[in-house]
Amino acid sequence: MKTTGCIILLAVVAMAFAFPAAVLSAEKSTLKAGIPDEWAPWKDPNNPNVIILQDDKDKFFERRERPGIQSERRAS
Amino acid sequence: MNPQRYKFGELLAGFPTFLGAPMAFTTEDLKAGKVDVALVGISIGDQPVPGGNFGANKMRALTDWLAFPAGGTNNMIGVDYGKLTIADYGNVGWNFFAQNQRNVEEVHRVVAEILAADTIPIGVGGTHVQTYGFQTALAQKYGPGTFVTLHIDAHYDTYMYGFGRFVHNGSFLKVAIEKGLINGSDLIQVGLRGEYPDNASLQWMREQKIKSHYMAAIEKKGWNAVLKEILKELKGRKVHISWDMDGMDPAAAPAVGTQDPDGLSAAQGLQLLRAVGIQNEIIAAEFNEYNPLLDDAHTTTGILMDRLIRSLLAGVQARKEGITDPLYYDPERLDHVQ
Ligand SMILES: [Mn+2]
Repeated sequence: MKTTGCIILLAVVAMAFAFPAAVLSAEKSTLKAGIPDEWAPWKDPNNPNVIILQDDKDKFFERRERPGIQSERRAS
Repeated sequence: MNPQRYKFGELLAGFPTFLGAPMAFTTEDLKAGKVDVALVGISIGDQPVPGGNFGANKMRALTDWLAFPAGGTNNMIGVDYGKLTIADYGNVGWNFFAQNQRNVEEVHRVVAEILAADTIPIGVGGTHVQTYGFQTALAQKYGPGTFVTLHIDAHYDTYMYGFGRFVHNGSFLKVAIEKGLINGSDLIQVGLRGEYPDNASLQWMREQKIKSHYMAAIEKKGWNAVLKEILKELKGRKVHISWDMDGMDPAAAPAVGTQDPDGLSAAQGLQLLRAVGIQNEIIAAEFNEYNPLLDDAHTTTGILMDRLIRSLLAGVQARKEGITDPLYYDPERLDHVQ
């Protein structure tokens, strides 16, 4: 416990020196760039501010042709 | 800035920060403080049962009073991770109205800020989709295909379909491999179970040579054997850890986005992180899918996540101190020494 106390004390003292006034700086980050376009397939290449959908093979709310007792087996 | 008023005391006495660590907000702060590890809150929610958004802030205020601020001796290896300089880097913003692929981009930006200071980013909270932002930032810094993603999860997360989106909680690893951020053979998965992958996904996973350690392997061969396989596969590599809390057994971590019984025990999770921290260079980690709204009054899942992070940090510090055996134990903790 004594050692832990000392280490915490040391850490506190170290931090006081290690973190100068800049800690609460409201400056904006200089790294504004986001994910590079080639790794962001959702970005429209013509306008990266437009989000595109994944290809239309993904069907939403696709209904069974004849809802019945016998369900189809899963395709996979 | 240190949030602790007192030189000695438990977390309760200070402003709530991750592990009670001092705060930093910019790359410059991290450089000035020579910060080894920056814990950064992720507040993205992408779950059917909402709540992951609140995980990060809950992790700063757990029902946990006997833990020490940003330090303490790991009882397995006798190493004090308080010798590391640890900081709380605040949270990555999440826009509720925006599509989550946009929010992932902000994860990328903040993680890149941390990496720019040569500090290890550790994401706390959020949901699994955020991993993609970590991987793009890491690929930018270290180069695509240069690092391993160690993925702990009940689920495989390389689902073929996006349902309109490319990257979501279940598909991000497929896109990461397709885009070359990581090689398929550099994805090491642990804890897979449940009634998936489906055959099409499984076929794709085989073709990519993904290294999946299913619960079946752990049940049949035993944890120690599987742990050795994992460590062998990781040897000598830079490692990014992507830790889905649902990889753990629900008995240990009930408050997750997608619960599935029969997962890793707390002991196995803690040991894996300690061992990898000792053996490998850790370049980033994230602990996600904690839903505090589903946690019990004692924040059992949150406290486990806190201890998983501390265990990883102990491993990282042990490596710095020259411990090389990932299965090292402090002799004093094994037998009476007097
Ligand atoms: Mn997952």
